[in-house]
Amino acid sequence: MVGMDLCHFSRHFKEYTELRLQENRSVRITFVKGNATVNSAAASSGLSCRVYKNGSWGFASTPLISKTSAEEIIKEATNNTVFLDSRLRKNRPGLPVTTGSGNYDFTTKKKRYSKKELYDFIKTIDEHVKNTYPDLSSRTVGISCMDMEKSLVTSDGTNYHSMIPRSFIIIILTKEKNGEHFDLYEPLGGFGQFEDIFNTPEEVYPRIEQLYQHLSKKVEGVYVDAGMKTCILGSHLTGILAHEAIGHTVESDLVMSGSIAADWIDKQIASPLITLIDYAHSYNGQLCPVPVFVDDEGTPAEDAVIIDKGVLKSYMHNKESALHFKVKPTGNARAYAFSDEPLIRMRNTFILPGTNKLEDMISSIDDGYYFIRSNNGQADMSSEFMFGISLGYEIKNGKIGRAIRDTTISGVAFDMLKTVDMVSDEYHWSGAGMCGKKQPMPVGFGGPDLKCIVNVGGR
Amino acid sequence: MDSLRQQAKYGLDSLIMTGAKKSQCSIGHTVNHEFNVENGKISLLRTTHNTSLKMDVIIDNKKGSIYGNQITKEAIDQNVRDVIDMANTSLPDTAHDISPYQPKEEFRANVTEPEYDLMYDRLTEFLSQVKDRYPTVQLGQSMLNFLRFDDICLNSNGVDFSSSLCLYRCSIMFSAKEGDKVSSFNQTGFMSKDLDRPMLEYGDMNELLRQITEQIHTNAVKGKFVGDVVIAPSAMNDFLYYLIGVISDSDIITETSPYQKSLNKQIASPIFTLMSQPISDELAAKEFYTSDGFKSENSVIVDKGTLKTFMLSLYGANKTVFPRAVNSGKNLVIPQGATSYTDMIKSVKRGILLVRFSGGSPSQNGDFSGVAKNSYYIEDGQIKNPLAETMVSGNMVEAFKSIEEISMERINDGVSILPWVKMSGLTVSGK
Repeated sequence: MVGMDLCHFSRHFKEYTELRLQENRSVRITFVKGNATVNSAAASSGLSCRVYKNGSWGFASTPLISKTSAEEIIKEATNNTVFLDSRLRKNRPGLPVTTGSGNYDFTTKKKRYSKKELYDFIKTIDEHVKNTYPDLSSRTVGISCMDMEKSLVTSDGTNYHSMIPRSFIIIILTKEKNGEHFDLYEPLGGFGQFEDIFNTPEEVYPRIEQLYQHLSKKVEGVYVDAGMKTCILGSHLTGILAHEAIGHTVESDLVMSGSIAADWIDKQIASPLITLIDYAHSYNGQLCPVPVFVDDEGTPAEDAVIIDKGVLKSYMHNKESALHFKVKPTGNARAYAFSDEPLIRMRNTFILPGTNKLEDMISSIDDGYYFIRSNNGQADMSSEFMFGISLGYEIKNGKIGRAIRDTTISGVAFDMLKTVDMVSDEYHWSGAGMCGKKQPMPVGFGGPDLKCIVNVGGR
Repeated sequence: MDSLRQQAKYGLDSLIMTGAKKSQCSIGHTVNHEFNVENGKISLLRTTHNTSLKMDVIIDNKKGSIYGNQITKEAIDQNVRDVIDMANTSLPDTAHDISPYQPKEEFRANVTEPEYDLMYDRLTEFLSQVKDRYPTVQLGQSMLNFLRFDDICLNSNGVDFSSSLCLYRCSIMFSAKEGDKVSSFNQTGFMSKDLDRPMLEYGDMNELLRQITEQIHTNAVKGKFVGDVVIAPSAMNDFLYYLIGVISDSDIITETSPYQKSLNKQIASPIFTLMSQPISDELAAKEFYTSDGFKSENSVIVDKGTLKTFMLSLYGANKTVFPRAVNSGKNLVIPQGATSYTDMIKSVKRGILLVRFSGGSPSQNGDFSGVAKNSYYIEDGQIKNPLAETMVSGNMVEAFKSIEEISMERINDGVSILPWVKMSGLTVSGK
């Protein structure tokens, strides 16, 4: 990213002001059935400024990175605020003062792969899949890497720089039976630049083998039996549940817009086995998939304890919502691109593990399902959710049975969480999440396996 | 525009001089003026400027692509070096190509300036009308934008297209709340070349806001039945995007599409026609030329149930034996049907009105299931009650064949013109 001393411009700040310099860089290479369909790189950079006055906000951005353009967008954002304030006259008080600082740069210390080395890395994996699994009807092998680099100064005194990368190898395997095609998708990787995650192509072969074995069973899979069923949500599904069905209802902007969670603080809204936290950057001494140390309003990011032993304890906040609810900002204000304003977003939303063994959870179910992977999920402010299931198995008489075809599960999350009676002691994180809420945003989520009752959609 | 042209020409010349005999360079500039609404009140005025640079290079049948937003001479020079490096590392594929020479054209639609006062006044009028007519409505993140897009696309075969387009765009997210009861959220919006009438009068804005106030109190369907589903225009795109997806490059190239052998064959009810109209005067949104450098034309995708074209890019066409589509499948239009909406509802013995579909991605063979959101139960020709926790499932391929009626009424939201469509034989299941 082009370097620039943003502190130099703070003398132009007339009201509460944020000035941000940002660059998002990405690389994508994709082979579809051996054809090199994508070989691209992208970069998007620029300056943005946001200004607050009496409850009105103004924002401006430009791709031009220069002293003149910085001064111009400060002026334009200020003018936008003045225009709105002159019309709206909200006369709200000033925002809470928060000051973050530091340089959190996770650029790899290793030598970067050249374009050719990166290309050959993926090509080797594609050749392996082609040669090892000749019965596949199609295959997609690719990489997707993204670096997000930001510098921020605010009129509160924040001076912060970060470079947060994530990198994935994408595998999609497709098999055909009787003219029908079945597929499974797996993103491998997470936080870090490619060199810090992947050393050799051979490292990922066991995961591909696992995916292939699941696919071979799915091809022989059965339609699920529709209705309310006792099920185990695998850790990936638990993570999506934490994010989509619970997390969004407790983002404080949505709480103010009428979320079901608005009236439930300090109420029992889930089984006492459920504790849900939106971690800022670390869990158990390890970095989370999408670490946020200082948010895009300059607030040092803190963990937000949302549900503690089944009781709703708090929401996620930016400065303005913290002012409204008379609490501390939690550092959840995040912007995706240089041209985006910060919104209240999740970071690493996680349901804490319990004490049960997965085997015991399975053996406790006579007739149900074990859902392992989802291909998408949606929820709304009533916490009613829907997850597409791309991988799962029957549970019959306490044992894993046949694989199932794609299906959908749904429910009201706060009702469903009350049915949780077993929580596994193992957990997994997923770092591949991309949340959509006006802007896209990389997010982490995870958790243990949950035994619960959900509505399963059948044929 | 002159400055964009100079930079695009500099980029293309640099690519050619560096050895990329087949190359394309596109440079664009976008300005966005946006009023944001949070919790029913205007909260933010946002002005953003951005530029875009896209270079595609084919050297000895090997392709590289680069995207950026810096268009200084230094940035263009660096991108030229990087994209050529990428092409050189790639594998050869004879299907890679650029579009052939077409006559130079300049496209312009509704080029004008934003009117802040008009935008502010229309937005405050809208907020006030919603508050008066629908007091239980909670408006979440919503916005009104004025957008200007300028773009130049040049390639080494002599293609020289430029375009300028201005439009207003609105999107709203909303729910309704009474005491501690809340509805599901819903969302809608529109694009328009002007703001010459109240925002509530565009697209389905007023109807969906009215409906949400009824959806605070819902019931689940009891048990499971097979019945009719009336797809509202707001839910129709979920079905159309599936169809467009499985007749596009990826599925046709890998021969995994359920329509692989269906070109010029009956794939839907004879009363169903689907068109893509990227240059329609009826629609505010436009696609003047495709990303691979072809002038866009309006087309018929499905004609009276018969599949007339796959939606293949130049690469997809070269990779298969099928012709290239003449657009990218945007601005979808279904012609008006013969049944009134009222008669369509009356004809349903037992079924649902599907207003929003929240579902998993359909499987490769078209099987789908999902939640019927913001939807209604229909029995004996009457809309009975809003639904909760009700799922609808079926098969997309069969669903298009099962279309029985298409409404005379249609919704034009500036991006598509779609009617209500009645499908039969779908499974509805509740608690």
